[in-house]
Amino acid sequence: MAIDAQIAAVRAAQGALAIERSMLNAAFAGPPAPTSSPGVNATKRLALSDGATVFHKPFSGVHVANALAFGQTDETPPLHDAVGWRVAVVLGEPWQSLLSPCVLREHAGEDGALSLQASGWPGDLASTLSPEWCSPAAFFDSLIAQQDRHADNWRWDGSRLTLIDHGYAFARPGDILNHTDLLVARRSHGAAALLEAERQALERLLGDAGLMGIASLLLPDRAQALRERAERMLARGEVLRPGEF
Amino acid sequence: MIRVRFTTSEFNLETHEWVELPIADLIADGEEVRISGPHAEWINLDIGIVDPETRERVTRSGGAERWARLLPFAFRNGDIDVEVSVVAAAEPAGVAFRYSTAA
Repeated sequence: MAIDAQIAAVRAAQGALAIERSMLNAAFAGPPAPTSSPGVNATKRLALSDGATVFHKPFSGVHVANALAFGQTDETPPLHDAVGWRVAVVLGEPWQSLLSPCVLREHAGEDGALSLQASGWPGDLASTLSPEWCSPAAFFDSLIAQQDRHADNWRWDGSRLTLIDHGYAFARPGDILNHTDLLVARRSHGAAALLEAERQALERLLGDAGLMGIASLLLPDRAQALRERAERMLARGEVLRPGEF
Repeated sequence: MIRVRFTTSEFNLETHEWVELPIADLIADGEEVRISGPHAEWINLDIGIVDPETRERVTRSGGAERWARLLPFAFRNGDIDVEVSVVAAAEPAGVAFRYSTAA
């Protein structure tokens, strides 16, 4: 694959956290759940022997036309799912707790992204009204150039927000935006200015030539776009405008 | 007329079998959308979806049936199963909500 080096770098980076080791090492319990809509990324719902429910998005199952429509390649969506989590890990809290953990792992001989099921339900706009949750989520989506953050790509359990599905992220200038609802909400509340913790996180990221290891996980043009977004955010002191990749 | 069925499933650790759980049933009929089911509120009817063939962003107001056919592309992470089918005639739907795009 054209992203073999990036896949190898993700594999080398993952496994330090207990949740990642659990997702990498626990056996799969039983078959995947039957699906009636296998056409979009061929994602499988699986159970792990420790009781966790996970979703496996194989590299071979990417819906190519859909990925290309977003400016992705036929390989990048599962990679970007895993890199989204790695960005959250290097940024630390509050962002690490905002994302559903994701690792690269094989299932049934297919390599792909394995994401942990998030608690809560889709479609709830409560988090867009909560600065505690909306602000860090909007910062994260702005930084990673999330292209499709709508209310069915997050989960809300009444007290906690979890962001899911980062396949269509790490966009480049000119790539399309479908939704970035949390970023829109933050800006519409007059809260575009960076918080001190956000400024410090960007300074840490840019203070390392390899973006704290993230640059090696992305194709070079996407890593460069990430660096430039972080620089713009710092220079302006605010999250970027929707679609500003 | 397009019917979209949303389901999820839970794994039974004792039987090692998946149990399907209904979320919602959506009917797009012309310009009208009806949705019902135990968790119909989970489905965001204002969502825009990128048509992979035309790369055009499609919303409900741009054509309810076309939008409904594209709904699987909005649910890619695997925890909500989205089944689209074409139905020939009106079915009793136990309608909970009606949304018209004609307004």
